[in-house]
Amino acid sequence: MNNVTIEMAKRGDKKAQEQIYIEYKDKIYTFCFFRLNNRDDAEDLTQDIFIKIFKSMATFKGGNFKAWIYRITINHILNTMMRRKDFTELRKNTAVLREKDVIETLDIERALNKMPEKFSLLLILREKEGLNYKELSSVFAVPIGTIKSRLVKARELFKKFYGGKNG
Amino acid sequence: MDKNIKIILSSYIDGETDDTDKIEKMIKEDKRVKEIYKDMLCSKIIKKLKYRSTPMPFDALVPQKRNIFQPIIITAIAVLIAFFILYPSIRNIKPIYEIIKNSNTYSEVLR
Repeated sequence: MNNVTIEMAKRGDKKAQEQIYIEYKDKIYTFCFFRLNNRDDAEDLTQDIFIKIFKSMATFKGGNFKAWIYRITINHILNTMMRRKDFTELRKNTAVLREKDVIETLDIERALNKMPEKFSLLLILREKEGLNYKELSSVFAVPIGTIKSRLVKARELFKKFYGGKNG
Repeated sequence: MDKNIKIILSSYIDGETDDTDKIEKMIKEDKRVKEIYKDMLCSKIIKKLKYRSTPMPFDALVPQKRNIFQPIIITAIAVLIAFFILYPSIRNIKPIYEIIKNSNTYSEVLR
């Protein structure tokens, strides 16, 4: 995401905002889906997050845009989960299993679903999105030392829920 | 002790440490460290995770701009229709000032 697009989006340019939306919508939607396991709820939450992102664009003072977007996303997901405890209970996944990679993806999703949000989201941002410790520290608003110990815990939990079946 | 080793190994996996030679040596020489390291590598499979796609369009986020002319046009049409419906019944009504002018006042009648 280049600075021009970000600046234009800050000024309310719809085309620039749409570009940001296209870049991040599937990622944010996937984060929401992990926690809610329901398409409609995940879409509603994704929509809320993007509205919040575009409303807060003016407060973005430069720096790492990706980390800024994920900070809003993570805060919103964690706040929603706290308000609606019922979402933390796993809903039955009705997805149809077809190919090996789909099965693998579902296993990964199931393992991540069983983990507390702060650990699963941290692990996804690290392993899938490749955010470094400094960026993660900014996203979760905690010191790097906390990120390090949380990653250890997250890896142990993932091994327990995923590795127990596949490892 | 274990916790510290785990943090060191986790940082090594993430490429966030400078002591790579020292850590590699530890992994090679200590069986227990090697075991912990192997367990930690399990999370690398998350890279294979596929993002789900949502067909939700961008327009769904943006509230549509209100057309201010629409309610004006609708009101105007409604007034016109009401006028044409009511016109036959109101065209024979005399203006009130004519009625007052041509009729006796209440006091005149009494007299």
